[in-house]
Amino acid sequence: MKSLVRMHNITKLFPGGIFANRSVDCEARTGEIHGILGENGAGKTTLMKILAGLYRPDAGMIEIDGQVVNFHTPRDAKLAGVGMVHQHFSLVNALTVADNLALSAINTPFFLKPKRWAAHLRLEAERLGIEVRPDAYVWQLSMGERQRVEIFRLILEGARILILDEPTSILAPQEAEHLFYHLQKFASSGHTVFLVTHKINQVKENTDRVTVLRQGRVVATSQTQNLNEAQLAELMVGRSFQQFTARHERKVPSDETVLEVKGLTVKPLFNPHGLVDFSFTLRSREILGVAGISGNGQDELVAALTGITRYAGVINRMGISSDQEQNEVGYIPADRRGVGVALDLSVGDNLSLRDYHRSPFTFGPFIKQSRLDEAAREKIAAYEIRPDSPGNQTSYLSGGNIQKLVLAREMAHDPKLIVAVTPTAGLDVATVDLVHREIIRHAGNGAGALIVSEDLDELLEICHRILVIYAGRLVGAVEAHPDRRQEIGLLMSGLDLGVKTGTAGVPTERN
Amino acid sequence: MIYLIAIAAFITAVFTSAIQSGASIAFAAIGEVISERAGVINLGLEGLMLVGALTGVIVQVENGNPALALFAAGLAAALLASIHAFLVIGLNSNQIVSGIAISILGAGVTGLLGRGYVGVKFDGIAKFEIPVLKDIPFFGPVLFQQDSLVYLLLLVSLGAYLLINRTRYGLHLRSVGEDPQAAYAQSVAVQRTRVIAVLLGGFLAGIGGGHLSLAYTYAWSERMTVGRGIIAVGLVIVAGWRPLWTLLAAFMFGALTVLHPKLQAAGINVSPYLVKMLPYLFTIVALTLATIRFKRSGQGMPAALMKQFLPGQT
Amino acid sequence: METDIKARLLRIFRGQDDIFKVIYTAGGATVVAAFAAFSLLWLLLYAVDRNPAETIWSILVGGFGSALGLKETVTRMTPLLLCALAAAIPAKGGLFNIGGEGQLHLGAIAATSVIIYLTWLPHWMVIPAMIMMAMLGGAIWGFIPGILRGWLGVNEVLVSLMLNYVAVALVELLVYGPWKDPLALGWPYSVSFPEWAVLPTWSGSNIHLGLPLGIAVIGLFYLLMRWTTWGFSVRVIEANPLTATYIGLRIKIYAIVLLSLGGAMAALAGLGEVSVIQGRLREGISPGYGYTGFLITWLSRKKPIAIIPISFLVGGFYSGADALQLSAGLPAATVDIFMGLIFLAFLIDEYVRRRRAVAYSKQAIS
Repeated sequence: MKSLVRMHNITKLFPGGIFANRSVDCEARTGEIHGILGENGAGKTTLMKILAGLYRPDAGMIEIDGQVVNFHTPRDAKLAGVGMVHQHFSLVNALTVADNLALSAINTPFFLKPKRWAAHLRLEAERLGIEVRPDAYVWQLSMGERQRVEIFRLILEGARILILDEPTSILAPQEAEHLFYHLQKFASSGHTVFLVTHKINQVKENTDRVTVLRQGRVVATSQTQNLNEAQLAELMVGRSFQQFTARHERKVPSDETVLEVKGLTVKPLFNPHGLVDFSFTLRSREILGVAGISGNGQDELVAALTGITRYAGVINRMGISSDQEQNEVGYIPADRRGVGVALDLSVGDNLSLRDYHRSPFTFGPFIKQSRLDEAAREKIAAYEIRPDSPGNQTSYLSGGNIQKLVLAREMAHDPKLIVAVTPTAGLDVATVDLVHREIIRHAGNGAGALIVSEDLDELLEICHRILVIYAGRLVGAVEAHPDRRQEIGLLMSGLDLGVKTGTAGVPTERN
Repeated sequence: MIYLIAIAAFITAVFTSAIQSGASIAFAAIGEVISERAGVINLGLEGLMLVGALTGVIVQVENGNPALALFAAGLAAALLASIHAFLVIGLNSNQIVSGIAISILGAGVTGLLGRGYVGVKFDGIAKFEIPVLKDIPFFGPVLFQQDSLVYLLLLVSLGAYLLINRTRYGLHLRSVGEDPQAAYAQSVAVQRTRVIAVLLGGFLAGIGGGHLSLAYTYAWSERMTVGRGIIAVGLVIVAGWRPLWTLLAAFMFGALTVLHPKLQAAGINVSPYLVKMLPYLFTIVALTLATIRFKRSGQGMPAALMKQFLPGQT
Repeated sequence: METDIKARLLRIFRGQDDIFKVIYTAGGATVVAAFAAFSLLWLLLYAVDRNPAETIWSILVGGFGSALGLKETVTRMTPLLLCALAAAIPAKGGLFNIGGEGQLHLGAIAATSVIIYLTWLPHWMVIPAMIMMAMLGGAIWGFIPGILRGWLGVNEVLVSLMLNYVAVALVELLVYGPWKDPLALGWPYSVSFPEWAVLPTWSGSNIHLGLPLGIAVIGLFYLLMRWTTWGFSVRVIEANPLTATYIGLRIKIYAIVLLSLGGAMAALAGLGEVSVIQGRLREGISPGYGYTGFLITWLSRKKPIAIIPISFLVGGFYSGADALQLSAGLPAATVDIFMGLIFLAFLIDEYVRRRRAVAYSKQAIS
């Protein structure tokens, strides 16, 4: 097997002095699936974006098929056969699949010929064995389907090197299996696949060779089989690290109910399903997970619970009257930059969002700024938010620090109910651990926590029970044990085998 | 029986005048559809139409060639629109504020430069009557006795529809208006696509202004557009950003503006000022209804309208 | 506490503190942009056979060069300041109020209605009644786009713009119709305002109560924004409406309140025009104060205090151009051109500023 891609001495510096990549050497051969492993922030995505022509390296060189290449634009990379699968910014929601593919195709005529194009697409899809629907609008597609379209597009355009960045974060386990099957086929036909991930088990299961990055540098390159999971973890983080030890600090759920939801139904807001007849109970000290592929109703569930949208059905927050509500619910939104904070306000202001209108921070209608500042400083210290001045503008903060800010603010009042949506997405290991510990700690003190996440591993680690949501409905309530992984995966994909339903259509626990 | 004929005649007269009155707005509105589908709102239509109106008059007076005058009108407005394009696309300025500034600028410049042309007489664009067809009852006068610009208008609206929906540029246009980040990732020239859209919109707005002065009022006066530019923006929303519906909406609006003289001719006496308010009130109501409708269905407005585009920013 | 003051002073000295950053970094781009605007104006004046230098100088002298000029400038400043306030208050919540023109007219109408219909009021009550009615009228005209925006999400820019035209038509309706003064020899005027309905002015000039009132409101507004919970809420809404909703703020209510308050301010300008300047209701009481006010708000970078000097300057242009109109036949539109150009220069300048801010934040996102 010869080298298809060779990256040598790649260095990338961002304004402000952050070295995203430092003298990175990386090489991948034909027929190989090459893993790029590292925690969030290690520089994996940057490296791949350089390969895909989105960034220009400050030093170093890239060779493709033995030829040195110099990419000025993503298009150059595409022409050289490099294709990166983007999760977010690549498909226009309001257009059809066919339109999207025409958008990027190189020889689209000025006067479009929609029928001919769709027929061509169907033919190609069949030839490659990929399932796509050219006439569907992208907003109608599931995340897995969208990913398929992305890959289809790249292969159509002649990609020989595929780069996938955390591709399974939006897939159910079974869909992930399908994906890797296709990737293996692709690699075997003389191509290369780069798999960028922070999941060690994924690297172990699916890659031939792996490059481990830590803080912008390569710390190891090897055949995957030569390194075990513990070694990979240590290489990734730099010290002996036991992932997910926080689980052991969980307390047993009490009998007291914190939240009771009956027959909750919400009109579709963000995806075709909405929420239908959703019921569950959350107890004090319990950490309840909601597993499901993104877009199956979780957004609607959260919107109803946090009071953003109208709903039919019953939501009963035990012992929390509505005027105390703001104090008693801690909500950690999925979009920490876009919803969790107001970027144009200062760090101190953002920390004060739940406090500024109540005593002891007010004097009549006036704000006691000094008290607010004091409280803000306390929170900054407690959660080690960097940079540590309350006057800083929030947009200067990194994702991890913003999440710490949100945590600090929401947990400050010891809420009885915690709702967290994908709370650890994109965070480095240390911050992930912090978030988990905080949730577990507050649960231990009597709160009930509802965690919505696409990361099944995370849910299995910290939750007591996991609810599975599919097409807006509750399709399973399972004890959170690693043995039940397969089962949950099936439920997430809508393949519910023998779920017993009780009265009122509420699925009972499976044995 | 006589009553029926009278009503038929009344309706015919209203429709005919409605088209004449609405044509200028229609041009501007269709241009704005193109611009907004690409994600840029242009509140400077008022100033653009004024510039077009004055330029048309000046060229017509000095030169006498209506086709040239009209083309010049479009060109001049496109020039003014290019400032908007520069600010909004090049510098990422706030689209609303830039548009208002352009409107004010356009009103000021035309007020100043147009002083010498107030009250000047010239031959405008005459009616272009298609023989035989023009005598068909109702459809005759309404469709076939209009000035040549109206025919152009029909072509333009059809052309706009085809451009947006059936060409590669139109595909780029729509993608840029919905999700510029995704379009950029697909190597679509986002800025360039938008600039072209804004310039096209400006050009059409200028033609609309030219129609107003050369084919409708046959005169120039300061601030003669009285809000038609803004109405055009409203109509775009009412028509759901669709060029053919925009044409319809513009004609409906035109009907409202000509209502008073027609009513008076029919012997109904209403305060002219009350009727004067109607078009604006109507647009507000239509705008409200359209907005509600779009919120329900979740579609319609180009998703990236009025938002800044910073390439590569997550 | 002490270290905070020291840190602040240090930041001011380094030009990093907010207000002073404006002054410090207001270098290059502003000058270039202003120069570009100026040259364009020059060219335009040239194109209409006027000596540009002379014209501009005359405007400046006319506005600021004499006691009479200054008085006229301050007189003009009042409606401009009030209309700027009309746009500034909603702007703090992220809303665009371009309806100042219409709200001004509604204020004028409402004030006139007092002297026409409430003739039984004791004289000392007339002025307070006019103020209240004017503010009510303006608030209604602001309420409409407010509620449409807050409740239904309708674009308040378009609605308020169109209401401007409706308001003007309303004035015409009234002065050509029921409110036409039979003694006015057929001219479309309302009856004159009797002397007890004329706002108090400053020693014989036309500078009326509206000015100190407006300045007071600016001060009050600044305090409210900075020191009260209400002000904080408005800031949150402007910074991020999603976050605001998520912490429980009712954005709809804020939209309505802010736009209504803004409308009330513009209405005071209308009251002033009709009571003091014109002495009666008629067509054409505003040469576009509403729009210019909007521009002034934007020029002030949403720092309300800057509205005062900027309206003074713009008032000077208006009064200077006015004098020029009488002496040299230049239309009032000239000021519009200047405003428009200044505005564009400002937008260019804003761009430069933003580039620097983006560069800072880019470095931090890891």
